[in-house]
This record gives sequence, C-alpha cells and structure tokens, in this order.
Amino acid sequence: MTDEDLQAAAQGALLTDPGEALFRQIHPSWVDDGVPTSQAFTPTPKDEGELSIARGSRTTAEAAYKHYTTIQKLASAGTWAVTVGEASDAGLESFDDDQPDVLAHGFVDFRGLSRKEAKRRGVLLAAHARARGRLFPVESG
Amino acid sequence: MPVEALTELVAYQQLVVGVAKEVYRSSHADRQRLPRGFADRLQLRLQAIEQGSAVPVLERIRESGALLPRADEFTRSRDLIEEAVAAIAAGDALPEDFPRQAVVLFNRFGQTLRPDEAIELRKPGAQSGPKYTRDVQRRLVLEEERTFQAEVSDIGWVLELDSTRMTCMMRLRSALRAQPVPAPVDDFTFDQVKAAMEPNGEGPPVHVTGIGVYSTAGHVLRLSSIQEVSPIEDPEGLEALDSRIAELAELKPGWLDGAGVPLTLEALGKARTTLTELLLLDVPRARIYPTPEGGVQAEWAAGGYEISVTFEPDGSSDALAVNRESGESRALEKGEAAGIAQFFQLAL
Repeated sequence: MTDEDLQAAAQGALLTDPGEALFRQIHPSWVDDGVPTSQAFTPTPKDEGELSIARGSRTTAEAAYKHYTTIQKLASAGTWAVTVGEASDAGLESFDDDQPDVLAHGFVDFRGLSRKEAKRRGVLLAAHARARGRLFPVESG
Repeated sequence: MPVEALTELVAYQQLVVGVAKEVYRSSHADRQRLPRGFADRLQLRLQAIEQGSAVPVLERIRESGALLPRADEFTRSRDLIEEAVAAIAAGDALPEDFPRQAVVLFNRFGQTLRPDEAIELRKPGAQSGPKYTRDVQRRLVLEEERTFQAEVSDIGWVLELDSTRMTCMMRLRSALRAQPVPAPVDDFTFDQVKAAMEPNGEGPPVHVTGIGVYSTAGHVLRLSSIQEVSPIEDPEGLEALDSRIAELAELKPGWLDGAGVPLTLEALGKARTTLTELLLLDVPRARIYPTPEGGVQAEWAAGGYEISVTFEPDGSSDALAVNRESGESRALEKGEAAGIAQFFQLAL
C-alpha cells in the first residue's frame, strides 16, 4: 500500500453522494438572532483542519442533536447542514471517519489550507447552511 | 479631493504661520512684537491638484514687486513641521528646535483625518515626505499638552440645555463611565439640541459630530464645538448592538465546549465603536459573534456577498467579502468603518 492508501484507510472513505447531508451542531454563542456564524463551518486550531460533521446517510438531524447534547453533553443551539456537493463546490472533500463515541462521524477536509483560505471556504459553507435553516429543533413560524 | 480636505489646507497655513511667529520671536529676543503684517507675508494658493491620489500643490505667492526670499521664517517653519512629523512618526521625540508653544496648533491640523488616512508633507519636487496621521497628531500634541483635539462622531443624549450661556450637557456613548460632557451650542445647533432633549429632559439618542477635547487616554472630556446633531435612523439597532456586546462580555473561560477565552476589552471596544459608526453610515445591523481567541466577529449577508469583520483580541481588525456565486473574495487589512461601508456599496 502507498502512503496515500494508508492515509485514506485511516481517515475512511471519501463521501461521493453530492446530496448527502453533513450535520453540524452549533454552539449557542455562535448563533445570533437565529443565524449561525461562518466560524461554525471553519475548523478551529484544535480541529487540525478537520471540520467534524455527522453523516446524513447514517443519522438524522434530530438524533445527531440529541446524541451531541445528551450523550456527549455539549451545548448546541441546533443542527444545521451542508451537503457533500456544496462542500465539493467550495473545493472541499468530505470523509467518513467512524469513531466509537461519536454518532456517524465524518469530516470536511480543510487540511493544508491557509487560515484566510479556510475562512473563505467556511463562509461559503455557512451561506448554504443559513439558506437551508436550522433542521432541528425545527424553527417555528 | 474631498471638500473637507480644503479645511486641512487652511489649518496647515495657520500652523505654518504659528510656527513661523515662534521662530521669529526666538531669533529676535529683543523685540516684544512681531513686525506689522507678519502673518500676511505668507500667502498660499492652490496651484493644482495633481493626478493620481489627491495631491494639492500649494504655491507661495510673492508680495507685489518682491522676490521670494530663499529662506525666511516661513520656509523654516515648513521644514520644522516636516521634521517634527517625521520624528514623531518614527517614534522619536519632538526635535529640540521645534518651538514648544506652537505644538498646540497641531490640534487644528488633521481634524478631518479618518483612522486610515494620512496627509503626506512633500517639499517642492520631492517624491515622498513624512506622513501625518491621526495617531501622529495625537502623539505630537501630547508631547506638550495634556489634552488633544480631534473630530467626534458619536451617539449622544442631551441632558441639559442652558439657553443663557448657550451650552449643553451631553452623555456620549463612548465617554468615560458615561460622565456627561459640556458642549457649546450656537444659533445653528440650538434648535437641533433642543429637539434632541425633549420630551423628558433625556430625549432619543442622536448622532453628534463636532470637535472633541480628548484626554491622554483617548476619552472625550468636552466638546469644543458641535457641527451637527441629528436623529438616529435605527435606535433599535443601536440597542441591539449594545445588548449583544454586553452579552458577549460575560463569556467565561472555556465558553466553547471547554475551549474559548473571554473576549478582550480591546476587541469589544473596537467592535462597539466600529459597528456604531457603520449604523450611522446606514449599514444594516450585523450579526455579532465571539471568536475562540477572545475577539469579536461581525457578519452580514448583503446582496450576493457574505461580509465579515474580525476584531482581534489586540483591537486590530480586518474584513472579508466573499461572493456567494463565484466564491471570489476581497479582503481589507484594516476593518475600519469607511472601508467596510464601501464593501456594502459594492454588494448592494
């Protein structure tokens, strides 16, 4: 196996269904008047270029939210989503990344990008997620 | 060249004359008074506006029948001013031979400068010269004075109006501990101030422009003049901004799932000031968020663009506009209000 094959095996399969939803849980401080920040779609330094998502083919917006808040006991204002195709349009690949304690885990790959470039692509993802709106809890009205 | 820049040319002439007077006095210690018509010996006229950025060329007019002196108090004054600006801009002390009594005159020169603007002082034929900025102005004046003057553009509330003394008391949004500051009114501003005070002695917030007297720490102590007092278009936007900034100021260490540091006063202050200026420039209300590093990020969706401004923990800022369709981006190194407002003109 080549180094690239080993890396691919370690990080899981490339996601290829452009319609697959990639769920993000967003911290309450990162939502203002119902609108999430683009920072929520850009990895922080501790993420090392991997923006965590829950795969829409293996879970739902509701289950992802409940797992995150009740099992992982982390704060979330709700589930927002982009798709594999939208990430691809922004020049970002998405991968499966099975982890024992995290439901349907995967990530969008920002590795190797400068901070500025990561920010630009995060802005594009956030625009799609905002347009789609919060998926769970479902927004009333 | 903007019309306001013409006032800077007038202020520059007054500065040159003021420094020249002190130069004359220091070299004629035996004379108590300046020669008759001394100030009139310096007549400047705008010879041309050169191509490119706004470069007004000032020409000294000869007195009738006279040759221009090669060097006199006014040319010496011009050189001293340039040397003083160059020294302060370089972080050095004010040159020894600059007349201390004239330092206060720098208060009037540069009052219309925005934070990202500069006046470059070039000698005849020179390709460059020292740059005079708001920061240089402030540091220059504070070499000798305990206060400095600069333009004020702030939100305020009128608390009192004294029609006999033609003064008022205002609470400015940026003032230290919201202490009221005194301000003079004139026939033009009296009605504006009176309208802003009604109905209960503390009326609606208003946009106040004028000249402020600042402390060394940069707080407005009083207004030396009011240019205009006008109603605010979106007082709810202002309230929402203050409320959100106050909310973010309460974030504790580890606010982001164990990561995230409290926001710095520098970032919060810069965000509050800049976003207020933007509201006054009719830029729509921003969404405001904390950053994990202790900064603040403001975001807007405008036309086909996503616009964001990041106020870093040290108070510096930058801006980014991304076109949603093409993905192309434009960045601003400094997230100052005027530059950000231009992003909106581009987007809308």
